Amino acid sequence: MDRKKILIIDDEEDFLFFVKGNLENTGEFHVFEAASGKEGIEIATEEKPDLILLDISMPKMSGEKVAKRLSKIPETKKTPVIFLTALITKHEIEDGGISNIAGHKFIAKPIATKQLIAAINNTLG
Amino acid sequence: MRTLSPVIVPDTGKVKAVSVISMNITERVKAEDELKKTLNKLTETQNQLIQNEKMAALGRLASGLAHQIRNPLEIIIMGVEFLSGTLQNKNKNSEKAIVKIKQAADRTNNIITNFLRFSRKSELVFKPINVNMLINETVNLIEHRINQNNIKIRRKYAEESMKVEADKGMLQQVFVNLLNNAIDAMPNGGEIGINVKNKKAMHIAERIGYRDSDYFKIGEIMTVIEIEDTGKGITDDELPKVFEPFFTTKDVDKGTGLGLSLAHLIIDRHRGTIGVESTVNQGTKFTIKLQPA
Repeated sequence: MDRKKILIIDDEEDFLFFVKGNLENTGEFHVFEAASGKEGIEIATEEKPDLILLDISMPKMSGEKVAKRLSKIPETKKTPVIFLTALITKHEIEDGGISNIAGHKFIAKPIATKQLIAAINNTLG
Repeated sequence: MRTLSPVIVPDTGKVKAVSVISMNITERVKAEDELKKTLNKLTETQNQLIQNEKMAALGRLASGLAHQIRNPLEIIIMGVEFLSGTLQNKNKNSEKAIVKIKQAADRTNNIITNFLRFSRKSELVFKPINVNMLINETVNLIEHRINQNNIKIRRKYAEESMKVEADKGMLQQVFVNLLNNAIDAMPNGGEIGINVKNKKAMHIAERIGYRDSDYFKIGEIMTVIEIEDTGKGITDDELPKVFEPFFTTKDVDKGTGLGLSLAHLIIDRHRGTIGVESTVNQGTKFTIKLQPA
């Protein structure tokens, strides 16, 4: 079975390192990482990931802006995006660590690897 | 009515005449009453504005804190899971250490989550809540700690169903914090007494809430919840500080110093009061007053 391609865009480089490690250790995912919105858009266009995990609060280009840009690029406009945020509280999150707000999916940090994988699989169907 | 100085006979010192001028001051009294009412209303509005501003400031602080703390927390959780998956030669102790780190991270996140929750006014959902049932549920929730620490629970509910207007989750958080504190105060075991009763406000200054306008009228019913322990007590010096954020007498790894300040803020959001009395080596009693539903 082909490993699913996941792109994580987050300015916390330590977070990128560990999430990449934890997801790849399962053998189910191939993870690309980007520490800025600009870099993320480049990688997304080139690698065409199955799903993008996107931090909302980033310097220079916010997650919201990155998502808007991605939605206008033919290669990425259909790629599902899950926003990562430290600001929504746990009880706002539905089962599976994921919630829908105005049509977008959100994950509240901190999240354990198990819940993150459930949220990814849930989105990919 | 106004009385002028009496006319006195110089030789005898006796009063010879008294002049009294009477006038109708009904209108003036009415006007003064109106003025008093307006002034009270103004003070109440001003207090509410200050309160709103405080809550808004707290909301901003909570959001900022959440962002600053949850990101490194996420790194800790993910990092520990990474180590757990990759560490060679794992033994019982290293596995235990991993579990402990994850538990500590979860605990920290719970504090932040609570801060965020109560700082957002819209998130409180007020419904009539049966206090007795909620207390029973809370006691069940921490039953293992109660048994572990050899503690007896004595419950006295004046009526079978006593309802208050409250956010269930938030009020439960207050009970959890108070019960956990009581357990911590009795390392060698003891008793926790929980009393719930309705009481008539008997004094003109019987307060509900901390705002100037938050008084019960004499004869109105208030729901009083008392949680008392037979623990080590709190000294007179420490007692005024117990509701201050980050004040704790517990060991670093046991207390955050936020439990009671959270309880205070939550009760305040319910327009209720929480007070404390304590005697060293005899115990501590917390009294919550809420508006019945």
